[in-house]
Amino acid sequence: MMQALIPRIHAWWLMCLATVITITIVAASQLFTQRISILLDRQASELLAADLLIQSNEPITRDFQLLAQDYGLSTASTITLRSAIFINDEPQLVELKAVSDEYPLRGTLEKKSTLLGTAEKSAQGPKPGELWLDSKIADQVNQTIELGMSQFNANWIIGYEPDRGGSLFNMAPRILIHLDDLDGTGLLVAGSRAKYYLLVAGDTEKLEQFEREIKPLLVSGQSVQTLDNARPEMRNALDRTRKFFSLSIVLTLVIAMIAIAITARYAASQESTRVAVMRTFGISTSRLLSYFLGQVGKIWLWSLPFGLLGGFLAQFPLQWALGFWFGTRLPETNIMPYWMAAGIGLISLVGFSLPHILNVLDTPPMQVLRNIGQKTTRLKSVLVVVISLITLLIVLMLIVQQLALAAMLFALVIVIAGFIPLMLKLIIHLLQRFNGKHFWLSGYLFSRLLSQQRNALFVMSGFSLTLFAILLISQVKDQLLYDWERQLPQDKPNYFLVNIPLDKVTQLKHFIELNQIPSSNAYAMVRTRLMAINGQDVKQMEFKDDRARHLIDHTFNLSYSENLPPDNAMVEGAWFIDPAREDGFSVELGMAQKLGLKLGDSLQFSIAGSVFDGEVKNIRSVVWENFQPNFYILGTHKQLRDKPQTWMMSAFINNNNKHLLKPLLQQFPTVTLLDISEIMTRIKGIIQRAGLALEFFFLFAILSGVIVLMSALNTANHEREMEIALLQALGASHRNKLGSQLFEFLLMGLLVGSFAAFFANMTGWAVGRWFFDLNFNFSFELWLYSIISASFLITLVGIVFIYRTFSISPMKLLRS
Amino acid sequence: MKIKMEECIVVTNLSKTVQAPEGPLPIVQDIELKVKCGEALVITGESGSGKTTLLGLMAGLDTIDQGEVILLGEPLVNKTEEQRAAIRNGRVGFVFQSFHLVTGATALQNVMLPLELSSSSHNRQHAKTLAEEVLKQVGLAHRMNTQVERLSGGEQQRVAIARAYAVKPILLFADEPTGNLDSKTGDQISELLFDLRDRQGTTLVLVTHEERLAKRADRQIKMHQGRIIEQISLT
Repeated sequence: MMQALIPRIHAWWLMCLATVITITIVAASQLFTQRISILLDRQASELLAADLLIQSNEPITRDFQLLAQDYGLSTASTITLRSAIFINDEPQLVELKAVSDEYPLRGTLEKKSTLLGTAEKSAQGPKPGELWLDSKIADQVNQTIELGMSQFNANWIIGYEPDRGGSLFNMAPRILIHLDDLDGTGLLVAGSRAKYYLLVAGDTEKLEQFEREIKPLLVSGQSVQTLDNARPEMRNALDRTRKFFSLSIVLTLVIAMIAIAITARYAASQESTRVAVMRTFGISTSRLLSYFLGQVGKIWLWSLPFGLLGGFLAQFPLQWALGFWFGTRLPETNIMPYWMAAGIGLISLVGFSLPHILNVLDTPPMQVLRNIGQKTTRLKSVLVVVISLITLLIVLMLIVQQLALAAMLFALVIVIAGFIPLMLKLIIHLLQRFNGKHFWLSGYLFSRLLSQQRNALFVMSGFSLTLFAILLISQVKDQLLYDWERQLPQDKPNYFLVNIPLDKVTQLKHFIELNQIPSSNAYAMVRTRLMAINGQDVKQMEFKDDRARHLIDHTFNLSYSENLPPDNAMVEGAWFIDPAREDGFSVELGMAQKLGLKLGDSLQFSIAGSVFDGEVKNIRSVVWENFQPNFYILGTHKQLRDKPQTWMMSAFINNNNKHLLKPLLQQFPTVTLLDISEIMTRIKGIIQRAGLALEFFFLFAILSGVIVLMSALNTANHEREMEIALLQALGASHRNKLGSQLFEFLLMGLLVGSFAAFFANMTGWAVGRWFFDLNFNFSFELWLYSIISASFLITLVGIVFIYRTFSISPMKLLRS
Repeated sequence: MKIKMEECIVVTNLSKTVQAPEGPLPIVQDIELKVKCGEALVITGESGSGKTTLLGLMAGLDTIDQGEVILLGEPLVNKTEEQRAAIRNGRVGFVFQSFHLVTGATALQNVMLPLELSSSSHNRQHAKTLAEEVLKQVGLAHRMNTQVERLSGGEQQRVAIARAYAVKPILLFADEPTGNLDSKTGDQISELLFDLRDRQGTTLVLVTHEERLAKRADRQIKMHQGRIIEQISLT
């Protein structure tokens, strides 16, 4: 009796499990992405700590402040710049921000006395003499901190800073001081890479009037930011991250849905005899349909609490992995993700089970009772496929919420699902020709694989997609890491020394030489803005390339050099004959191509309101990875030596000469040290954590793949039992029986591994080529890993699941 | 491998009991039976008389509770499933009521299956030649490469008979071979079964409830409630 019940329990149980996984995946991913969205929205409203912000590379004239006050608007001022402090004799790059008494105008600062202490709200920033520091360097609280030429007592840890933002590269710890204390530090000199902000808040109408009046008064390097245009690049970057994350989740979800589809098919086929018997008693189709829909409803209700709980719990590892990315705790969410997960669970369940249910209801009872098997007509097959595909498309659209993206994913799934059967048939037909010495290599086994094609396809498609998703993400991740790794030189400069005042360059060079620190040449950095090319205003010109557009929209550094810098090579034209007496520019090859520049073109630049121009005299190539100071455009001494400027150089500082940093910074307090290797290591950390978060999701994908396999094995269980019994009756040894099954699973694993590696390689190449600008190579290891892991997993699950079949009595052949 | 012996099957005091809800239920009791090599024995009886169970026990498909069966000179008692399978390998053929063909495979591949399993037949090409030959003998030369599920019931049973005879077995067990076929096809199948048996000199043990099939056998035993109630010599 129990034996008879087991398959039916399996069918519903597996369907429940597949539904639980689907709901879990949707709930976890939705909860997580929504928390990021809320954070982004909150940041958008508080991003400015004001309603309107004037940003400038130069000190902002007091007239702007007075004008705002004339309109009855409140104002505050902040200045940000990078500097370094010493913690345990180690230099630490910090993001220094000096704020006026009125800061912040919107949002509230929070401060705390210990890292784990309770944050208290503060209407004002630090008072004069006070210093607040980032939680990343919380151990420095109550310590004396040297900042340039001043000393501060670190009074508080920053709990929350409204306009902190979430830039991916904003990783240096924040230091807050009062605006009045900044001058005393000596960090602010002409040409410092400081940013000046005037914060404005108040009545919307007045703000609009103020904005209209102020805009024509802005000079080059100044811009107005409002809530609408605040930090679009950051928003875009995070949006892209969110989409990439969603894409990975969607692939996992598709596998879970395949699991629902195949378990539903199995469950429906299990019910066919019961339906046939009920139909002979005259039970109507509508009553049977409502019975089945009731069963589906029950499965949904059973799966719901477990799925939602799973989703709730699964977001914590994700929060751990990515929360610190944003430098803040992710905000709590509403219940919408749970509704979404419940809805998608129901749609998937109904959408994938309904066609199979209708199929069973449409089968004449005699076919079932005489054990002829369900004859699937072409029309029925098309119906099953169409309803399933519509369901898939609906779910994809609900998840990614973009028709184009959903269509692209849909197409990807269709291509993979269409490719696999074709390849499978081809490969099996080829293998059939193989004259195997052993029984389990004989043609009959390949034929059996073909006869169970539909099941085999479900398993192979499911597993191939699972493995494909895993391989793709890890491949992209590894490639990104590899590329960064490659860019981290072992013996090349790892520090940039920037913000060197012109009058200190010689002294600093002397210091470097005296202490035998390997370093590059020193170069001037003249902040400038490109105004016109061949007399045409660049704002009116169209540039498709983002980097070119960025160069046009922002200030950037020009430099000048006596000779062609090391690792630069002349491509067109010749180096300046006498840079001290001639005008002209040397342009990097890539930038020349992006801006469409050629020799003889005229460029016009503006520095702090003064305009100068010159011709493109030569075009040169640059090795960007060498960690030397490199510049897109170099001018001549004649044009630039009198312009406001700071200097920079790169140096190789290791443990042997690290002790020199403290005297260096004490002697040259305005110099900022940029530790490139530290930044690279942190980026590596972020990518690795993000990869881990995604790999966590792949556990669900693997589980779904296992469910697909179990369902497929269940569906063909009777046939398999009969075959084993037949082999037994014909005198097959245990080795032959086991060998035949092992071979089937290994062959499946081999094909799945190959398909997944093939698609991962292809897609990885495409993603790398078009999204990350990386060169992808054919990866032998990827194929090896893919084939071994697929073969191992499928064979292990398969053999464990069917093992009891080996002990089946051949008497079953006589009794069936 | 052919061996010379007088009796292919010797059954002594054989009993089999199963657990029913109301307690132990004997389904085969005190069977004494000898089947000579080359003999065609038919076992008849109503449904539930124990004839299929007896066939299974004689073929080593089921375990023996009490008594003894010696199959092709080898006692089956206390033998493992693996050991019993080794006794059958290449020497015993089966024809089942439900055909039990491997779906998805062609008629030829089905017939090749026992040949490939047989330890004496490693060469696949040789197995293929033998299978083609026997398929021609059962009149399926034109359907060799057709998948078995596309064949009619009669054709499927012909494939099953070809599969059984392909290894040139010493002994063939057939369980209701015409049970799933209409009477005309059933007659054709029984003709084929006996013709091949006559040609190869195979020992045949046939279970059927159809009296007309029994007429071609050498001997008929009738069963009732697990016991042999009558033995009739038909030669």
